[in-house]
Amino acid sequence: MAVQMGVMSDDGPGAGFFPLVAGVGLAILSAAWFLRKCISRERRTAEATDLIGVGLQVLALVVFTLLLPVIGFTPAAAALVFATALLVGERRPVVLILLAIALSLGVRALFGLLGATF
Amino acid sequence: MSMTVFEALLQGLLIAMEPQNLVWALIGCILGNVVGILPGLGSAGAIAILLPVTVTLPPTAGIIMLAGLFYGSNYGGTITTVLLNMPGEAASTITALDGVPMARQGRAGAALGISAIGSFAGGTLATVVLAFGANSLAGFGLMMGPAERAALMVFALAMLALLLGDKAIQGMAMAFAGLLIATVGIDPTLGQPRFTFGSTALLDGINFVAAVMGLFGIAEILANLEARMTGKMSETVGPILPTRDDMRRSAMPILRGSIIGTLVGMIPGTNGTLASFISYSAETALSKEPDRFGKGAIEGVAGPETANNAFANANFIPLLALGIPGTASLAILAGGMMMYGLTPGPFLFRDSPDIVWAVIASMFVGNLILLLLNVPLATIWIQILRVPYSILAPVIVLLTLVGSYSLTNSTSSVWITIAFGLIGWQMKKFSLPVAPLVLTMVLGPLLETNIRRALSITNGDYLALMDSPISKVLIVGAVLMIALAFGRSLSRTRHVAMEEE
Repeated sequence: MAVQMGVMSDDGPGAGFFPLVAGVGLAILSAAWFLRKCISRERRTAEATDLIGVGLQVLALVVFTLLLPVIGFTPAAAALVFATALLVGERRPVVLILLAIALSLGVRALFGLLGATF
Repeated sequence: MSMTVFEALLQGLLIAMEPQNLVWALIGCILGNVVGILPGLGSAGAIAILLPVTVTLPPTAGIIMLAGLFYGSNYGGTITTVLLNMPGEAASTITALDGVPMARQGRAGAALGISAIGSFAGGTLATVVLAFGANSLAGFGLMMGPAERAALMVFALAMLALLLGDKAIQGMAMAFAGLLIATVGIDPTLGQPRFTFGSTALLDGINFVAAVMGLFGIAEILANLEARMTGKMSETVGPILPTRDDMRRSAMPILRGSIIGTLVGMIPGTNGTLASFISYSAETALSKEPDRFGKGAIEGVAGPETANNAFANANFIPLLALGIPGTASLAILAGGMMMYGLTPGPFLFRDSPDIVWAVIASMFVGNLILLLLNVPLATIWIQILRVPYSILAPVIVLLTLVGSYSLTNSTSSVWITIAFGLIGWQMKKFSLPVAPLVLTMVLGPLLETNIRRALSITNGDYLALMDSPISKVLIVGAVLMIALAFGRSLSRTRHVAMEEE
């Protein structure tokens, strides 16, 4: 793709020159890293991981970003805070609701005071 | 120069002491402290999160605050390290070697006290060097054309390769990835769109700040979730003031740490961890009782803690004098200065002397503020650790996304933040270093512009890039460092392979 942009132009390197250099460099080094991993046969130890939690957190981030222009900042932020707190282990409903309200309003006030618009 | 450094500094001090600037320096120092204490939030991420907020302030106040946050995080990072064996900042890692044993012996207070005192001494010495040395370095910077500047950036990146140690290959791969990401958007000299895939939002390139907020803030949250991090921690401290014997033992380590940290901080592409590591090695080597190290020797806390704060303050020398950010945090700070229309580098002293000198003077004030905050208030800082992670995590997530949104007032930057959050999380999993990626994302466009400008001057003659002695020395040095880094990396691989067979 970088080549299509024109690696060289009339007056020196063209638009594709830098992406080409960076891309080739990345490819070579990645290959070197891969080779090294193969040679040294490092085994990654299995850890207790919570991939579902990570997936749900990413989903919460995506939903927030999609909802933000539709339902406005405060409700979207409250939902995000609620979901995140739930995911990191907060189970008390009162705490979850208070946290969601306080943080969404608080952050809105903080950024609003400093000139941001939503 | 019509004004002497002393007069300029005095005038800067007058501006820095204006109530508004003083308040923002205080806020920056406190935030820096908080960021240093909080696990999962580094100064780079915090500066990135706060950038959109600070651009609403006047430039002097905004930069003073971000600078305070940067060097203030060094003071805070010590607390979690000593008390919980959990470095809040990478540079504090070395402090754990003797700080944690000290805490177990009930001497956490003395460890925290000596760290604050050492940090103050180191920061002050580095700022003196910055005030009196940056100007002459800036004069040197003015003599450098596009070819020399490009050579210097290549040199700084090569130094990074050497210091990455056994992560040289991964680190350089990340550096190239950063360069590639930096090319997204409109080509700087010809105006041709690159890698935009027809998206108008990508024409301006990948928003650097949005990307960094993902790489640090979101990635940390995801990694902690995966490791099921929950709960909270609390401890007691004991008396904060070091004894007379502690002071006597610490005096020389603090002096040496100041010098080491300042020297390392002046070199772009180094980091605070390196400075504190050199200091710790020096103290172990020079000690008459090296056996005490690792078992709670106060010298092992005093030296490295001094060195990493001297490093942070001296880091402003290459940034202000040459326009080269030495660390990820300062790269982001440089991005903030550009948002104000200030280009860090040699012309800054000529074009905006009032702002530069006010920022330098504020660093003296800031270090004093941090000393006054940390010696008596260390016991209070620890209370933050009692905040459960279930409250901290939503705060970090919300601030990150809102900060990202406010960069462009659209969700396009939020998508970038989320995408880079996933990238950062994967990088953590594979222990890929983030710093080279961030550094080249900032240096990339500058490097490209300089190289292409230089090449169009020489009509595309690559060898002519090395015509001047400065470029020659820098490029040869860079090649040697890269060769050395790769040589080491290869021999280590062979070593590992041999051991396993």
